[in-house]
Amino acid sequence: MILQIVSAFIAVTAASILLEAPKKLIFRAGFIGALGWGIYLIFLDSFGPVMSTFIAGLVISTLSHIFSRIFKTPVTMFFIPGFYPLVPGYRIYMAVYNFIAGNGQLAQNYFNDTIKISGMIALAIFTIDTIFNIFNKVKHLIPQD
Amino acid sequence: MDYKKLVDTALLAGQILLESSAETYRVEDVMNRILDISNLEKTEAVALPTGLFITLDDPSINAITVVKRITKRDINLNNIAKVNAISRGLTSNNLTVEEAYERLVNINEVQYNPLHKDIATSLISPFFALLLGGSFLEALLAWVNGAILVLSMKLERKVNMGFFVQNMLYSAFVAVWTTLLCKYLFYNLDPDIAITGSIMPLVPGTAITNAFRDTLRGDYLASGARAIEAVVVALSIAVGVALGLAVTGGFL
Repeated sequence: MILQIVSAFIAVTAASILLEAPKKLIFRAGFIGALGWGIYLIFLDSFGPVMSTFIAGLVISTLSHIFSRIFKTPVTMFFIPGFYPLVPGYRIYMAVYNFIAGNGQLAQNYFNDTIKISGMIALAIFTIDTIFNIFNKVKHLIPQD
Repeated sequence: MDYKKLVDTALLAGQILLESSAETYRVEDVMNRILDISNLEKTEAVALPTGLFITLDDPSINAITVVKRITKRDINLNNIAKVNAISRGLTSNNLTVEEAYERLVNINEVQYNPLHKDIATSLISPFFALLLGGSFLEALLAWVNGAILVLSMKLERKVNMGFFVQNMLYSAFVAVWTTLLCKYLFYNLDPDIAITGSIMPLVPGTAITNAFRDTLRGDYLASGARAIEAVVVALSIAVGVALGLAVTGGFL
């Protein structure tokens, strides 16, 4: 578990260098990625991959929004590296691979998982985006003196 | 105000954002914000995955319309952050249009020492192998493959063979040599984990997730394009691995 989280931290930090993230943000992105992966692992046994992705996604998006407000950069800086371990790249590859290999049923399963997981990540991001938007609007409505 | 310069600035900002894989709504938002400082009656900016359209019109001027075709596309988070900062500077009047244009033209800075970047790129593979439940030896094997990936990326930049062929050749090569290594040298290693870890930096997980994000925002054109992109990239890798495994007899 500790090894997994440390691996996630290094993998995400390395990935954010590959994605040319601003230099001062790479370790913060790594932190978000590692935390997200840790939460995913905690819920994996009891909720399965799809639901735990959603829960981890909620945490990652919330933290990304908070970080983007603290460090004044677009929130994508944290989304793309932060979700790097969770996005179903492996599954979509396995889907296409099994499709080529002629294992139609297996390909179908991996493809279903891909759609569910990426849909869940998108939904988590969307939910938190909306909450922060509403929060901003409400803040503007309250007169400041 | 020099409206032509303003349109050029907005177009350049949009182009950099789109080429850095920013979300479509962000591209349109930034372009619209920049155009809005003209205070003209009609400003419109449209971003598609393959092109940008801007028009600026008012009774007092001749309408200006520009179209830009976008072909190149990779992820560059630093450029997105910088364009965002420049557009904020423009809208809050901290920057003039000329200064902003100047900054946008000179946006490409070298952030990382190329060697550090290469090391980081090669490190993605072994740690993903660990995340997939691999052992240290399998991770080590994936690290060697990561180094091969860095070399193949360098080669690609020189000969420019396109991402499909590059991904295919790389994954075929990795599949062949990892399988052979596990067959004849390290009997107790699982080649599948090492191979999957090695291709992790290439797999289109972010593209498929962005496709769904665009769908939820109502950008159906962008989401369709990204979804197809993801499937094609996955196809290029899977074809490579299948080829490699077929050569070494591990396939079917």
